[in-house]
Formats: sequence, C-alpha cells, structure tokens
Amino acid sequence: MDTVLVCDDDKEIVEAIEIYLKREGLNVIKAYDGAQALELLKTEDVQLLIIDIMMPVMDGIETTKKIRMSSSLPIIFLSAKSEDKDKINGLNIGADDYITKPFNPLELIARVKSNIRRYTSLGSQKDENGNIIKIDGLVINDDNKLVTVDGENVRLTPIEYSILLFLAKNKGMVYSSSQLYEHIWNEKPVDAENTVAVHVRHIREKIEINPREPKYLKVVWGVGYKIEG
Amino acid sequence: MKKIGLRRILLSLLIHLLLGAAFLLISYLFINSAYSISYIDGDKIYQLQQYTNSTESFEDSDLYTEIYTKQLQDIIAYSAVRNVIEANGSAKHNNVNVMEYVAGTDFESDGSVEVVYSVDDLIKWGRQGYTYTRETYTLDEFMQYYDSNIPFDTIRAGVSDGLTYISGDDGITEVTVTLLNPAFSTVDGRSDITEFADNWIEYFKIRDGIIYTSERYADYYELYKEGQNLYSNYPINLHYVIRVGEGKNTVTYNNCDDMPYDIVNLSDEALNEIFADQKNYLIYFPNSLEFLTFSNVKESDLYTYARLYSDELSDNVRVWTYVGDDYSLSQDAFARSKNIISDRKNDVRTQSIIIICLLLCWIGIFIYLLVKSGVGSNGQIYSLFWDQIWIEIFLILLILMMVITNVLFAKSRGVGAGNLMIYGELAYYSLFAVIGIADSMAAGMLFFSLVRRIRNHILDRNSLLIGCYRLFKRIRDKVETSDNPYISGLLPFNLFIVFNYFLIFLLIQTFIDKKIIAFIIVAILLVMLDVYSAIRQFRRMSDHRNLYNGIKHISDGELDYKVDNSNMLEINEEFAEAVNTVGDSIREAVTISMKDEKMKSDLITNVSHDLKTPLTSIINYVDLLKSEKIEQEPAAGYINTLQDKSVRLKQLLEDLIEASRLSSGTVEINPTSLGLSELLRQVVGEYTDKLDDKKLTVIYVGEVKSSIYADGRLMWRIMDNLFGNIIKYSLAGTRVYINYEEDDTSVNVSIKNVSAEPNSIQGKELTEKFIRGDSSRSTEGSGLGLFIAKNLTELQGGSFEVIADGDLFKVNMSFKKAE
Repeated sequence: MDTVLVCDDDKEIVEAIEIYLKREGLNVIKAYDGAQALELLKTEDVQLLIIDIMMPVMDGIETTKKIRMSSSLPIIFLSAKSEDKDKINGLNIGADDYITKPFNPLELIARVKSNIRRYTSLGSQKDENGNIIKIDGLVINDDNKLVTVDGENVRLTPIEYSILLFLAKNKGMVYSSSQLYEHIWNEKPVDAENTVAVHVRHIREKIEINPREPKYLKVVWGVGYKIEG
Repeated sequence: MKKIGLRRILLSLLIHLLLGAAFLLISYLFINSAYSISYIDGDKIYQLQQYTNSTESFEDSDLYTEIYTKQLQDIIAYSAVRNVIEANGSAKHNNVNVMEYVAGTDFESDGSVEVVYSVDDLIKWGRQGYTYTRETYTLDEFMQYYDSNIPFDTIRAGVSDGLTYISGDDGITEVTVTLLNPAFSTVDGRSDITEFADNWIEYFKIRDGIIYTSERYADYYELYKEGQNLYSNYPINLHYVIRVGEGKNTVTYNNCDDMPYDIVNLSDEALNEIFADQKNYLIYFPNSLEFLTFSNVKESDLYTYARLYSDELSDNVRVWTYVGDDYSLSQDAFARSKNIISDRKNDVRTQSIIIICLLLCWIGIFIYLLVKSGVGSNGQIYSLFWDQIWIEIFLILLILMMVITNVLFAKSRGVGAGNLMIYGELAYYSLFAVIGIADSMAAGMLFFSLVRRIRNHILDRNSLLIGCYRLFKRIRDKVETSDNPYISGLLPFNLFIVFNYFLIFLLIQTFIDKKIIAFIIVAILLVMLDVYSAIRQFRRMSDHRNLYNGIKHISDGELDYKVDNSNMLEINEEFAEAVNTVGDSIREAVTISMKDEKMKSDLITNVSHDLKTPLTSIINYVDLLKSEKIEQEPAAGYINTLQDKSVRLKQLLEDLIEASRLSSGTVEINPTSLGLSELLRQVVGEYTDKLDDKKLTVIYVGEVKSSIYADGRLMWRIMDNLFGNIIKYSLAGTRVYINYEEDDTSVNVSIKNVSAEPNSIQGKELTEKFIRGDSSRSTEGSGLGLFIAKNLTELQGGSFEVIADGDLFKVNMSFKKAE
C-alpha cells in the first residue's frame, strides 16, 4: 500500500485530504510543518508528499529544497498562491505538481494517483519498439492504437486518436486548426469552423487531469495546438 | 590706527612731502630756465631745457638759427617801413598820391586823379582816426550835386558803403551820404574831398582810398618805431646792410658804424667781399635768387618776408649780414642766450636728476603702501571710515587736482624769472609744494582706498555708479515681476519706445545743428539702449524656450528633468524654480499614488490568500458531506446550495486577485503575432459543450486576414471572460454573432448576443469594477469579468467598448495589427 505524507499547518485541510486519500486506498501520515515532515520522511517509507508552501517553523519551499538534495520523491505543492509566477517558481525548485487552494478533490486525487504511478513504475516499464511514443506519462502505442496516461487506459475516437498521434509525432510543432484539418481529413478545410477545436477539447478532457491547464496537449492561443517536447 | 604701525604712518606722511618737494623743484626749474627775447611782433619765451642737453656749439644750435632768422625778418620789415617813411630827399616818398597808392590793391583806381597828402599828415590822420558828416539830400539835389549823367541805380550799385535812401510811394524821396570830414589838406592846399571827384562814385573811391592809405601809414609808423627801438637805438651783434634801388636812387640801411668802411658808398661787389670774410655771414638777393650763408638760416623763411614787403622795398633788394662771434655786446639776444645757457646748463641737469630721484622715491613708496594698504601690522585686514564714501568722489578729486596742476604748470612756463616779483617768489614756489602734497594725498586716497575696498570685498558697495546700477536693477526687477501686466509688460515697452524716439529726435537735431560730439554721444546712447533691449529680448526668448522645453519634458513624463536657470534673467529664474518644483511635486505624487495602489493591491491579494485557506476546508467538507449520500430533504438541497456558493466564492476571490493585479500594473505582457480568427475558433471550441447546452449558435460575419500583435494567454483570458458572460447571461436558443473588420492599423472584432434579462445599466458602467449588468441578479459571476477584459485589452494597446442596447449586448474590440 502506497503511503502519502500530507503536510499543512491547517489541520482541517490535512484531515479532509486524509479522508479522500484513504477512500482511494492510500495510507496517509500527517505533518503540520516542514520540520515534522522531514523527521517523518527519515523513518517512514513514503511514496508521495503533499506540502503547503506557507507554514510555520519551516516552509514548503525550504523543505522541498532539503528533500531534493537526497531524494526524487514526488512532491505536490498545495498553495493559496495562484499566480503563474508562483507555480513556475514552485516547479523550478523541484516540485512535480502544483495544486492551488481551494482545490477540487477529484483533481487532487487524480494528480496524487498519477504522480504515484509514475514514481513507482519508473524504470519498470519495458522499452518497446518504435511504434510506441512516450511523452512523460503519456504513452501512445500505434500497434494496438492504445493510449495510456500514467498507466491508465484512455478511450479516444479514431479522429481524436489521429490528431493526438499526429501532434505527438511532431512534438514541439504548432499546427493551426486548418493545418490539422488538412492533415487529418486529407482535404481542404471548406468551413473548418470549430471542428478541430472541439476535438482537441475532447482529447484534453480525456488525457488531462485539468483540461483548462493541460500538461500534454497545449493550446497556443491564436496560433494553434501542440504537444510539448 | 594702532594696527597700521609707526613706520607706515611716517611713510605716508613722507610720500606727500616727497611729491611736494618734487613739484617745488620742477616749478623752480621751469621758472628759472625761461627767458624772453623781444622782436617786432612781440616777446618770445625760450625754455632752456630744450637747449641745454645738446653738445653742439651755440652757432649750430636751433636757438641761434631761430634768433638769426627772426632778427633778419625784423630787419627786412624795418628797412621796408624806413623806405616808406624816412624822408630821403625824394619827393616821391615824402608825399603820397592816395589814388596811386591804392591802385593795384582792392580799390578800382587808375591813379589818374591826384589826391596828394604828405606822409606826416597821413600818419597822423591814420593814428587819430576819422570823423564823418551825414548829409541828406532830396533825390534831385543829390543828382544835381555833380554835373553828371550817371543814373541813380548805377551810383547805388557802385557804392558799397556810406549811401542810404528812403523810397516813398512815388519813388526815392531822400538820399543820405556819409561824408569824411577832412582833417588835413592836400599838399596843394585843398581840403574839401568832394572837390576832387567828378561824380558820387568817384567821391566814395577817394574817401575810402584816403582811409585805407592813412591806416596803412599809421601801421608803418608803429612798425618803424618798434624797429627803431630794437635795431637802431642799441648796437647789436647782428651787422646788416640792406640796399634798395639802383644808381642815384640807391638807398642803403645799415648798422655797421663800428666797421672801418664807408658802407654807404661801397659797391655791391665790395660789400660781397667784406661780408663773405665774416664767420657767420649771410648774403641774400631775393630778386636774383642769390643766397649765400655760413649759418643754418633757410632762404624760404626770408623770402616770404621779402615778398610781403616787396611794394614798400621797391625793386632789387640786397641784404648783407653777419653775426660777430665775440658777442661783445652783452645785452644783445645772441649774447644773452649764450650766457644763460652756459650758466644754467649744469644747474638744470642737477635739478632734473634730483626731481627724477624724488619722483622715483615717491612711486616706490606709493607702490609699497598700495600693496600694504588694508593689511594691518598683525596681518588683519581692516578698512577706514572713508572707504564707506562713494569712490567716485575720490576719483573726481584726483582728476580735479590733476587739472589744476596742469594749468599751473602751463602758466608757469611763460612766467620767466624776472616777472616773479609780482607774485613773490617764495609764495609762488610754496603754491607748487602745496599742490604736490595735495596731488599725492588725492592719489593716495583714491588708490589706497581702492585696494582696501578690494581687500574687504566692499568695492561694489560704496560706489555711486554701482549704486545707481543696483537701484536701476531693483526698479527693473520690481517692474518686470509686477502682478499688474500694465506695469510689467506695457511700461518697459513704452519707456523703451519713448526713449528711442526721443534719442532719434535728438540725433536728427544734433545732425542738423552739426554738433558732432553731441551727435556721437546721442548715437552711442541710442545704440546702447537698442543693443541692451535686443539682448534682453533675446535672453527672454531663449529663457522661454528653455522653460518650454522643461515643461515639455516634464509633461512627457521625464519628471526628474531640471531646467538650468543659472544663466537666466532674474524674472525667469523664479519661473524655472517653479517649473522644477512642479516636476518634483508630480514625481512625489506619482510615487505616493503608485505606492498606495501597490499597497491596496497587496492588501487585496493577501486577504484573498488568507480567505482561501478556510474556503478550502469549506469546499472540501461540503464535498465530503455530499459524499455521505444524504438524500433526506431539505438537507440535500442545503448541501447543494453550500457547494454552489462555495464555488462562487472561490471564483470571486480569483477575480478579485486578478483585478487588483491589473490595477497595480504588475501584469506581464509577451506579445507575438497571432490570428484573431484562429483564436476565436479555439475559444468557441473550448465552449462548444456549454454553448450547445444553452442552444446558442455562433455566426461568423466577415473575415480577417491580417495577424494581430498581442499576448495569446491574455487574449484567452479576455475571450474566456466574454464567453463566460455569454453562457451565463444569454437568452437560450439565440445566436451569437462574431463580426470581423480590419483597417490599415487595426483589426476589429465585435461579439453580439441577446441578454436573457433586459440590461438596466449603461454599457460603459458595465466595465467598471464590481458592477454587473443587473446588480440584483444572483446568478454566478463576480461582475469583474468585463473590467478585467477591458483592462487586459487596453494593456495590449487595444480598445474595448461595451454597448448594451435593449436586449442586445455588444462588445467592440480593436487590436493592433502585427507588422
């Protein structure tokens, strides 16, 4: 059973998270500041850390820096600071994910599970032949047309699959709606309207934890879509 | 005075005495080295200094030549008048026919009328003067006085003086003539002058001829007497023989009685030989241009005299002269000159050296005192009470002293030692000593005070000129800075105009009157006034330019820009100061306002963050409560409400943070080139499900080919807000229109939808903070959406306008075109 260390100075939040995670069959241990978390990590076998940034005694940033000196344990920041620069700053320090308060419990669970899966299956996945495209947790197997995200199967329609595969094959390239239409439908876009956009939206809803803040299939507003390389 | 020291007090007393002594000696030198020599035309004064320095012999000196020349000129003149006056057996020279005498002068006379007076009578008449009688005649009487046919007009034209007439209605009534009273009779015994004439014209010619001739003879007599006094009564070292005429008419004048010859009867050739043997001889025959001399006398100096008296001397004048070199006659001009020069030569030199020494001492001590002036013996700088007096007074005093000195010295030059008795010798010399002391004191007062003033930095304080200038400046500044524009603007201008016209008027006046100096002074004043005004006007305009630039810089946002007022006019200095203060004040205000805005924004952000933590628990526990599957009403409904409102609260907080960040200007923009239609397709794609839920159809009108220059992420947030509103407030089943338009510089898009409820607020107010289309509405949304969208658009240089017209809700946006 995987163990999650939850660290926040607000006890009610820690307890709520405990309830959610226990329902998902995870073992939860609790800490109320960074120093306690570091102590517990020494003795317990922990697979994931959820940590608040603003805390007494030792804050989340400091704690993360200390952990990162010796461990690649997945860390999710939980913070009231929702600005982009705060998120970027947190990720640069070594956090694997960033969840803003107040959070959606479902999103929290999804992210926790995704991070644990990636952490525990790291290196255990077989390196299969060239027809498998792997981008972080996203794996596209073109042989059996199967798409998994962090090991979970995702069900895509053929058009959606074609779009995802095309973008994954051309990692880092940005394609506009009409370009994608031409490539996928193999015909001139007479009135593409929002066809492509709707499909991309659907893909994101299926493969992303939070479709508004996509990790894999990103929207370049006013230009097109891309999968980050 | 103690601080000056005894030595300096003594020196400053000594210095005045020095100049007094020097002046005394100079006056002594001037007076005692001057002497005079008498000539026919008056006394001439000679200063010995001019002749004592040369080493040449007396006979070669300029003085010797001058005396020789002047005496020769006198003798020529004297001989000429002797020739006229002295009766020498010749009737021609004893009696004079007046009409013949005036012939060849200005008078028109052919000498045909005989009016002969004796020379003696003419001389007496000329010396005693003339009396006249005025006779009045009727015209007829006048015309019949002489049996002549000459008409009156001709007479009137021919007579210049002595005839007047009165004319009545019927011509000339009276004629008055001025008749010369005959004081003497002619040699043939006639006295009535009118008798000599045949008509009136002739009468007046004779009358004027008599007057002219007798006046000339009186002049001859004066000259003759003077010449006799100088050259005949006493023997002189200059020996001369002047011979006039030829044959039996030969007349010889000489003063050679001491020579062992019968000069009068010697032939010209014999005289030539005798005189050529003498040492400083001179032989001159003006008619045959013969000129032989052993002196430095110039022929031209004699020739003019010979010409002047050619009438009186008649033809063929011959002159033989020499100056004896033993100067045996000690009262003679040559002897006196020679003796005085040799006597005084050494005295003058000694005295000159003493004078120079005294003057040098004076200058030396003066410079010493000048350098020390104002510095006490202990090195302290001090000033005296008269340093408070206008310095110009000392200057005028010194100039006055110099003028007095100059006049006195000039007068003393001509005095001559012999004349001093009138004044009293001692008093005269004392006067110069006093003048010297006074000069020295005046110079000391001015220059020592000047140095003391400079040392005490009060040079500019006690001066009339500088005082006047300061007063002028004070008045000018007061006028120019006056609050009343009539005084500050109109008064100086009018004064300038009035002065200018006045000076131009004076200029013309002095030009007409040919007053050259006054003209130049007025011209200089005029130029000065105009140049001064021009310079001030130029500086004023250049100041204004600088001030304008300063204000422009500040208004353009360069708040720390400073106007350099160091070279400005006084009135503009204040102005510049004020401009600089404006910049500072604005900067301060802006800084405070920015700080306030930042604080407000920080406060909102921090409060929002603090609110988020309890909100997290609320959301989570409501969610947990819901997952307890409570189906009992109304508890289940309450839980749903709690969930909705907590989510709404979360949205509100997020919008609030974003809005405050926008107002504090901390949003980063990374604009790139992007397609507006692609963007809207993507946005509509994102909202497809929600649009479908409300049965809203999107209609595109027009198309856009150009890219816009904007930040994609911000654009998404704008559109996200707009479409969020469309979903929330649109009437279900209606259409949403997206219109594209583009012009040269921008791409415009407008999004229209139909509101479910009527819009109760003006479009403009919708974009203000916290105001929504209907404040009573309780559907979700913070009301900040439009405010955020508008601000984000404007941040990227676009424009955002909301129009609420009945049920129609329209947003017009305009974005910058990409290059």
